[in-house]
This record gives sequence, structure tokens and C-alpha cells, in this order.
Amino acid sequence: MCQINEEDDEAFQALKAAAANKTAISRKCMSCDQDACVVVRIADPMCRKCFEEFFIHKFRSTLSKSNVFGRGERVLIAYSGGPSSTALLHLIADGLSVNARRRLQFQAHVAYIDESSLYPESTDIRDKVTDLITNRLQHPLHIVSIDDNLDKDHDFQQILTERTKSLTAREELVRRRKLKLLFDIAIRENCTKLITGDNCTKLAAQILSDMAQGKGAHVALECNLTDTRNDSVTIVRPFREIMSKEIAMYNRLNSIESLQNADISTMTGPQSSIFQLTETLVNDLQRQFPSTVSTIFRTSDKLEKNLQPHRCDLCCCPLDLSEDQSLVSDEERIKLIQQLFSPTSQNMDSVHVCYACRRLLRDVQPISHSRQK
Amino acid sequence: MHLTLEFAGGAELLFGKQKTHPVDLPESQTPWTIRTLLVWMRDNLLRERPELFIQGDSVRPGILVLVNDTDWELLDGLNYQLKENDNILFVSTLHGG
Repeated sequence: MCQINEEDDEAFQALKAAAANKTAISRKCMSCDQDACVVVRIADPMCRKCFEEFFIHKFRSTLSKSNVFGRGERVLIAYSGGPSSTALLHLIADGLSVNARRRLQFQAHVAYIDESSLYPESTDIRDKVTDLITNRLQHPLHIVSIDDNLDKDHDFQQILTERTKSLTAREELVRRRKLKLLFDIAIRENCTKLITGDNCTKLAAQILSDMAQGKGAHVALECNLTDTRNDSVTIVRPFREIMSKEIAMYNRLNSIESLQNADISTMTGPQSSIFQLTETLVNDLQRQFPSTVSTIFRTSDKLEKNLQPHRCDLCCCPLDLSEDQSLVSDEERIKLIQQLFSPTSQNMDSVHVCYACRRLLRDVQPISHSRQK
Repeated sequence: MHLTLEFAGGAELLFGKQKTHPVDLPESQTPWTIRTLLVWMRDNLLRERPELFIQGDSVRPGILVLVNDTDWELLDGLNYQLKENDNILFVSTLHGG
């Protein structure tokens, strides 16, 4: 399957034929014999009730198995407006409610990074988010614009459109910038955990995309349940064993609507960036070989690398280069990093970046260069 | 035949940002299936970028299809024969449409 001409590969054709000939999936739920409404995992049909129990159970047991949260701990939920984070809010609201079994005991805050300055047609997304989180769910809400606190030489939208030439680089900059802003909010609000709605389908695509960009040293960290790259705020990924299809199904059955489905890559096509390519690959493979995602995960979990104790100033992951190799010497790039990624409290004397972030910076042109146009 | 088509998860961006489309399919000699519905949709409803929705004779992987809130994998998939007033939902689980 890694060849250009799949027709010539006998082994692949044999596998495909076997998959096509498998007996039709029974229409009865595997646990209770009611009519099934969805197929999960490899080929397990489930009825609505059993599916919801399965889904909620996976979420709760992922959290309680690892004893992640302390009682009364302040926790920040990263809300993007998309289907995963909207489902996350819904599940957490259920888990916090008074009559929940094994009730969740943390204090939930919600953060939303407003990216509307990056899109030509912005809608009233802030109002919708405020309505959902402040009025209906009644959590403290912290909205920060993605260009928060940037000086006039570093307009984020301009950096992305004029100085960053590839969609891949733009996506990666936005991703790192959002994480940095989320960490800032968490620290400011004294939250020791940051919960994200990353599901395993997306994480699998992210793992492959990271490897393609030289970030292989960090994949075990990126797909872990708890991510301790930041000393003050631990990232928690309760959906890491839940597929995007399961989330879509859960949302449909509970009429949960996502508020925002577009990002900078929307409508650009399956070959427009490395992540688009790997997401397409993962979904394509998953259709015929349903253990694709779990295999990517199982393998990545084992890819630990001995890393430096110091952190990259862009992505906060442990450095995979030596101190000399990771030092940034270009004045303009240092200024860029300090503007977009500097920690709120410290002033950075020397800036260090990991291998992948170093390559990313090469795709961002210096100001003088773009002004020559 | 009257059907309701629904789009979610970003798929609606390909169909004029409209989430619900009531449609009336013309009479046909052969019964309508999801396979033939997709062809009809490509020719009559898809405003732009068909390759973001359709791949070969099926939907692009990453787009979940539910017929009356039931996974199409439980219902013969592309060969499912459409019935009057069926509700077909296409949810995109892909980022970027």
C-alpha cells in the first residue's frame, strides 16, 4: 500500500478482497440485541443506549483510572467551538452535575481563543460562545484574541498571510500560538490542568504530520493522556481513546451542535498542507483497515527519546538538540519569538528552539524581505 | 421521492452553508440508492470543490453517513435503497472541511 501502483501489489489486493468479502455486519446490538444504530471499533454494532454508555464510560474511566484530578483543583477547558470540544463540555457538565455517579470534583474554567481576525468573514462567534458557556453552562469564561498583546510590527494576520509561505507553516504557527495563549490563561487563573478535546483520529494524523516535520522526538508526549511539557500546567486529553466518528455520533444523538467548523485550512483541499495529507491518509486507511489509528498510537507511545531538560521556546517541548545547536541567533527571529511566544513573566536572554520549530522558523520570512515586494 | 439531506461538521460549507436541504428526486426506472443519490448531488447540489466531498463513487473517508440516525455501514452502505422521507445526514469529521 505504500507503492504508487496499488494494482500491482498482490498482497494489498488480497487484503482488500478479504475485507470486501467479510460477512455483512449483524444489525443487532452486540450487548443487548436491540437494533443497532452505529458500528464502533473494528466491527461492533451498538444500539443507541449501549453506545452512549460505552462512550461516557470510556471518557470517565480514562479520567478516573489515572487519578488525574485533585479534589477542588482548578482546571481550564480549551474550547475551540468544534465538535470534539463541544462534546467535551457536554460530558464535563454531566460529570459535574449533582446526581452524577462518581462525580467529577474539579473547578472548571473555560478558555476560548478568538481567531476571527484570521478569517475574512467573521461571524458573531464570541456571542455564541458566551451564550453557551456563561449563560447556559455557567462556567467562568476567558476569551482571548489570537493577536493578544502583539506590537504593531507583529500583526499576526499579516505574519501569516505575507511572511509565511506555506499552509503547513501557518497551521503550525497557529497551533503553537494557541497553546501558548492557553498556557498563559491557565497560569493567570491558577489552573493546574488544561483539558483539550483532541480525539485519537486527529492525534494519529498529528503524529504522522509531526514526524514528517522533524518533531518525531515529541510524539510520545503529543499522544499521551497527560502532557507535562509545562511545569505549571499539565495538558490532559480525555478523548485520546475516542474516535472522531464516535464523537460525531454522540453529538448527533444528543443534538449537540458545534459552534465553529472552519479553520485556516478549510476548503483548501486534501493536499494543501502536511496535516491535510496525513489526515486524509489516516481516514482513507481507517476505512479499510480499522486498526490503523490504534496501531499508530501504540507505536508512538513507545517512541521515547532521551531529551534535554530545557524546553523549546516555541512549542514548550523538551529540546532535542544540544544547547549550541538550538540557540537562535537571528535578531528578527528572536524578536518574533519573543512577541508571539514569550512567557508572560520572564524576559528571555537567549532563545532556544527544537529541531522542528527551527525548520518552521525558516518558513517565516524576515520583515525586510517581505517589504521589498 | 422526497428526502431530507442534512450536513454538519463543516460539510455544509460545500452546500451553500445550508445545513438542511429538502430535496425531491425525479422518478427513476431503477430504485434510488445512496450511490445514485451521490451522483445526483454532485450534479445538482454541490456548489464547489466536489473532490472535498466525493471520492470515487463514495463519500470521502472521514465523512460519516447516517440514514435516519443509523450508521450506513449497518444498512448496505452505498447500495442502501432510499425510501420516501428518509433523512440522510453527512457529517464531516475532517478538519478543514
